[in-house]
Amino acid sequence: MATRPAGEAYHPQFVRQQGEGLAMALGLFSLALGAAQVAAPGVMSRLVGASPTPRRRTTMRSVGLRELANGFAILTQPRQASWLWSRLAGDAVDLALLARVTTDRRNSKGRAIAASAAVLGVAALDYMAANQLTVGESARRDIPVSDRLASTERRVARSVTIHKDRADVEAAWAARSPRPPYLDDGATVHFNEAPGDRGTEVQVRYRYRPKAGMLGASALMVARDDPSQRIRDDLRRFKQELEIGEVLVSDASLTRGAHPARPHARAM
Amino acid sequence: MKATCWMGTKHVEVTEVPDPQILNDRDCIVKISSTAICGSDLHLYNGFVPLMEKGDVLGHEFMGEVVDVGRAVRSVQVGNRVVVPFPIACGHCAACLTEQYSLCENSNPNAHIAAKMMGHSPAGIFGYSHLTGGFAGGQAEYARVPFADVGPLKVPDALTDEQVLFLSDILPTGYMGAEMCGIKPGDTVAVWGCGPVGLFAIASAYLLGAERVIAIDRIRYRLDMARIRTGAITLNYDEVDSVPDALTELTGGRGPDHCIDAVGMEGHGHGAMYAYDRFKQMSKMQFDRPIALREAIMSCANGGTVSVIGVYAGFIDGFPMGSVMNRSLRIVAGQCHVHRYMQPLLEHIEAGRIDPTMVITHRLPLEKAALGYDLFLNRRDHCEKVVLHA
Repeated sequence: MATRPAGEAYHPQFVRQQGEGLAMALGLFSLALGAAQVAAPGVMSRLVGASPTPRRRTTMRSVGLRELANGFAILTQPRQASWLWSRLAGDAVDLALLARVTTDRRNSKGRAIAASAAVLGVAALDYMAANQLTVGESARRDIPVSDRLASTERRVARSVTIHKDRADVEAAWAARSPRPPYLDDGATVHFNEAPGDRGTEVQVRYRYRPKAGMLGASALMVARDDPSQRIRDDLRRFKQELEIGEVLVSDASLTRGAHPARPHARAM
Repeated sequence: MKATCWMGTKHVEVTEVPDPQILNDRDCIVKISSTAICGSDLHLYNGFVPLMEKGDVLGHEFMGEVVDVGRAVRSVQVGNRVVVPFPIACGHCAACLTEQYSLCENSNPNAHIAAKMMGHSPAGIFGYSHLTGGFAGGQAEYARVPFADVGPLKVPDALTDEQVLFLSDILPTGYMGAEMCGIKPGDTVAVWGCGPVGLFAIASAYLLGAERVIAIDRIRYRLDMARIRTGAITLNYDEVDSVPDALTELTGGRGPDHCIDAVGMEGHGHGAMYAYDRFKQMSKMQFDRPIALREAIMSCANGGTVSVIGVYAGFIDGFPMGSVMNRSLRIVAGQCHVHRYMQPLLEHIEAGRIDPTMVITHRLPLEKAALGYDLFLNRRDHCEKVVLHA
């Protein structure tokens, strides 16, 4: 049975991941901008060079609501690419509004022009992100249906190389008790001889769908509850058990959370 | 037990902490007889190394007597007198089996953090932040030493503590710095930094066949030490306009064949580049100040080697990559693979070919560690190396 060598790049995913990073930034930016436009429309109007008439304030608030909706959608909804194209459309509307501002002699032309330049810059980023995500999605069309991922599903692979023969490694894996929990969640493990007498490569592949889309996934990473981190930690432990017979602890790693690097009291 | 604890930037205290215990079957406990303060400890002291916590026990250069061993320890016994190398190495991973002990794959419990910052994790180290595992260090009365069969070196009673203590770090580090150059008979080597590691690098360069070694620093007493103890030619960078120019003139227009950076991340210099580095460091945009490294690259002869043993933590700016690529320079770097060098260097010491005690200027009791840090950092009282006795 041919198994993929550990570490083969998930190439169609790579472009998508770049787009995802940019999308997250743009989503957060939309939230921040939208909040400012809704909460302080007068200030924001002056910032783009327009005097804050009541009608302008209303327009600014509507723009802000649109930004908030867009930002929220980008960060929590599947099919991000569509929301980024929508954001780009919003940029076009903003540019049109700003053009109106520059033609009115009562307004500050310089600021309006500066604001337009800023919008163009962000629009360029929107375009890039939307493109990258769309490319990622179209690449997926070549992948068989059974392998195609739903939008916010993340695919994770983590590998480790163990300086032991493959037969020993596979036997030790099968004998692991308790079984790693992620194996019951649909993760698969793959073994390969490492090139040049380096031993055996072990790769765990796992798919999961984080709740609350991209925001949820990032929160998990920060909290170190990210499945990819748990798998990696587990593989490192497995490697130590095979190579040295136990898992090394340090004074600081004995306890969860912050602890200075000094011996613990006898109570341990 | 008493231990030297990091309490914040430029603040260490010797306080009471619990005695260490056996935590893994291959551990041993060492009762420390002598320990030292390292130049790289100063980076911790000055707050430049991330992931330190108040209360961390410092120190990675130590030796003493084995007083307890774990169940699986075979080659050291209670009562042995040992010197402990600063990187922690398991002896069974691919890195250890190829003698790259400071790259041990199993000895950093915080490998995931180090990997995020550096790409992959190096070995765990005693007393050197949570980035390298959060192990308590050896500026204390006792230390827990993992992998007792792999690290600790048994040393003969005929040699004093001061003669062998530096096998734990600075002597092998200086030696590896020189060895990485690939010195051929007749070569000229330039060494930046006349601290203890620099002096050992100079001595090692001569041992390995260099014809001339040029020692670079700005502190008069350290340059004197280099000249008197090792026979190096000295260059005071405060007295010249440009170190690369001065080195070029000392070498018939060619530049030194090999350049060793024994300075690292807290480089000091003059002029706009130094101001730029300091600003970036203070505004947290840059961890390290690579002054010596830049000079070493610019000075090096075409086709030469730049050997980096000064410690760096993160990212640097303004790196002369054009000079490196266009002139076929080789850059070699690393935390010393101490275990590899301990026995051969012990033999050099026993035969009198090298005298490690030449760098010691201050001997203090452990309780006075804070004073030791101050003397060492500020180069007071002609301080070169501080040894703390139990």
